[in-house]
Amino acid sequence: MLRKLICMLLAMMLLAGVASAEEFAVNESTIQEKMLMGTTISRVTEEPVTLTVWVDISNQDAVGKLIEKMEDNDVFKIMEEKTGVHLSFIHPPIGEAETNFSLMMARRQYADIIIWFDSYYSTGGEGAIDDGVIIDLKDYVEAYAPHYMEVMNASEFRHKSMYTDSGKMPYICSPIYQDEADVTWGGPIIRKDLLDKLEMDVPVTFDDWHTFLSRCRNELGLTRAFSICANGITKYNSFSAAFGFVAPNIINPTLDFFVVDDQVCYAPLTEGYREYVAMMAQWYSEGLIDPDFPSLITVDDVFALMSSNDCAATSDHGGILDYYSVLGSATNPDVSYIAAPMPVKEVGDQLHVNGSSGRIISKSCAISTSCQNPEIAVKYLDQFYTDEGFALLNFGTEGKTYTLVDGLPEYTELVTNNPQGSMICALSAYALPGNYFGEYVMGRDTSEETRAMAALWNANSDTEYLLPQTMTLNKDEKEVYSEYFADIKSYTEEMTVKFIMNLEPMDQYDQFIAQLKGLNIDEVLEAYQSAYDRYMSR
Amino acid sequence: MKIRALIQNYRSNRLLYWMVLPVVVYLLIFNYVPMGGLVMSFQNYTYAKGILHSDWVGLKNFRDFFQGLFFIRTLRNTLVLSGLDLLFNFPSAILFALLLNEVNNLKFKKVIQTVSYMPHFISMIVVAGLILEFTNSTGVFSSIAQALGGQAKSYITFPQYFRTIFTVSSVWQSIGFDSIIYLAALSGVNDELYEAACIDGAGRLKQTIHVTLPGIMPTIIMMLILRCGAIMNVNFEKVLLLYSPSTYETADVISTYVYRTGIVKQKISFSTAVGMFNSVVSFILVLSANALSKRYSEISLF
Repeated sequence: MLRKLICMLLAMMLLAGVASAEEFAVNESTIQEKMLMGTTISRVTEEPVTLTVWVDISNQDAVGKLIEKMEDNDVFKIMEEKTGVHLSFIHPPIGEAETNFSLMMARRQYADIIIWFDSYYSTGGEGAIDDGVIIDLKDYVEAYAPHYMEVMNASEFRHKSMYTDSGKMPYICSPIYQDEADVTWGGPIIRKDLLDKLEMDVPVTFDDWHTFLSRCRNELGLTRAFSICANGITKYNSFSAAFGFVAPNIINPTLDFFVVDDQVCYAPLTEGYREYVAMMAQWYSEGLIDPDFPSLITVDDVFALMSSNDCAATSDHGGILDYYSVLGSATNPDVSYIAAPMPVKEVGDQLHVNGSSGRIISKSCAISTSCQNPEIAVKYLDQFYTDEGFALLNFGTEGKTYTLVDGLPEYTELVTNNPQGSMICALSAYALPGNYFGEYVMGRDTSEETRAMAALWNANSDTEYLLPQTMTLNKDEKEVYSEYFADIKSYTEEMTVKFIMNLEPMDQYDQFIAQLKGLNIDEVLEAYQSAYDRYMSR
Repeated sequence: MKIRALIQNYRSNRLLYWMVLPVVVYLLIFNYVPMGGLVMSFQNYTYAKGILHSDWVGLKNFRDFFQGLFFIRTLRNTLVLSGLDLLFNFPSAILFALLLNEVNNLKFKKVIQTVSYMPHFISMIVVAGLILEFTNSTGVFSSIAQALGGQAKSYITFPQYFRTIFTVSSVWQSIGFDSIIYLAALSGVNDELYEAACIDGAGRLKQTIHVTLPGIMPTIIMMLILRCGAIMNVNFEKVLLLYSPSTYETADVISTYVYRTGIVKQKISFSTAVGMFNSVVSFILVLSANALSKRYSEISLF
């Protein structure tokens, strides 16, 4: 539903905005080499073929702004010209991807290519192959996708991600160029003008934060100084990271759990979660937290709040700062925002969680059993893994979106200074970096400011606690998960918010844990543990 | 014999039969055919295997629901929200119709009618938006509370206010539109009865109690029976749009629970079982309301 939109956008941003803050200069000479286009896109069919693609594009603000529909993206126009394959896109209504996917499954008329299939299908890729919904791509890929095979065999990490534990291949993946680890693109954001007014330094520890927010409340009269998400957690794990847990995530099931010393954990069962919730409950009772937080449904609500002059801090994507500034200064010209570091308990603490998804490979394209030409579909997708496809996806077309300087692509004004939208917005109209096709070069599609903020947020945090994204649950484990986890999650969300709002006293926390056990959390954990162990010994 | 009578009847009422046909077809396609899907509640349904080939699990889904954490709560919330609806919404429309009926100034009456119908035509999502806006910490109600020396509060996020907000706004939404049917019934009451009552010395109030109300009683009973059948079908959209995890305690009803587990989380069989339970209870409620009414007032639907 609508509420999910925030979280979904947030998750998409995680996927879309992957880059290394400190080390943006990925081995540039190899990019130079790629730009020479050793391998090119070739025709895959003489007869024109149309393939349907089902994809949730709630993160594509270019559609409707710069282009009317995905088909108008330069990438697909050029690809059609060169390969003979026309893509026809099917998009679920924004925020209704899960529902729309279920309906497609129930109708049993699947799109040819389904993007991010794994996040929606309850028994995952392997289950779907057994159910006859998608096809095992192993034979097709090995026969018809030489470029993809080459790209995926370039590192052990990639090779491990290609197949499931039982050797099937449900997806064609899109890896990150040179396997760079993802970093966080979001974190605490704070009103600089208020800091100046109070003559305070940027808060570092939770005590500093508490002082800052209290002073905002008591001296400046802000009634909703700190904004958190509807589920009681801040975006990008920024305020909870110091308590050593990964907050349950709505869209990405591998983020529901995390791993410490090879032991899979569920956040609410940890001592850290209890501490975090107790702290938030304390802040709430002192009136530091936005009292409307449980009913913040849409992204617009959050924007409205941030620009209301009544809010001093939140946690968000660095790229959104511009929106805040524009909206905020409409009513108050002094408004300005800056990034604050991830808060810690003691100065110098290193955090092992942040907003990033770690080393990721997106399990992007599944091909359904409705597809008439799986061979052509695989061949078509393979073209994105050629050098030419690489350049097209990441940088667009030469002369229009980039020019070569010393053999390296530099974006043109059309991208860096697009009047209609941000850099990411422009790139998703004229190129398609970091989405669901091909390899993705990190960090080149964001502005200097965003990169600087990301560097600050990543300085004291890493992603050690994250589960590997490509571990797979087998059918039985997936079943345990879908049987029990819906209730567990719903109950967790409810109780978290209630504890924070002091509707439920903190001494009921043990009761809450007992109830989770009653909902079979241990069995779900066990399923994840065995999947994790299998992945580690792959 | 009967068939011949039917043919006879058809010949004389040909047009009526054709008029009712689309409705019958509609009911068959959208209300009867889908009942076949109830089979899923006894299966472990998966998309790929379909209804015909999914594995049978007997009553497991029902057992899971009845023994689950949320059974008592969703049932209670469903009954309470509908009960409140019946308690306040139902009589308020009758009362409103009676009051309107007493208004003599035609222009004034028309204006009141139009204004009161209006909320019914506002889309639910807009209504929900308005309610959320009015009941948050900067909304109208917080301002009023503050003016009276109270605290600004985000009412919609507290479980203890949900029922009030839900019921009051429902009255606002439906009072005008629901009164139409009673107004129509009122115009059917024989004027001579009023004259007779008047001669007997009955005042306005007495006339209402002894002439008007009995006059529209059949309509009221009929509406009540229909309402009882809908008790388990709380306004699903509205709850869905207004609730949040913090108010599940008083707001999560059976249908929203079915939506969350079935459509969103794809536990199709489980949610079919829950939905079926819902329908069976509804069915029993209609039958009992009908029987009760038959016994005490001799008015019944069937």
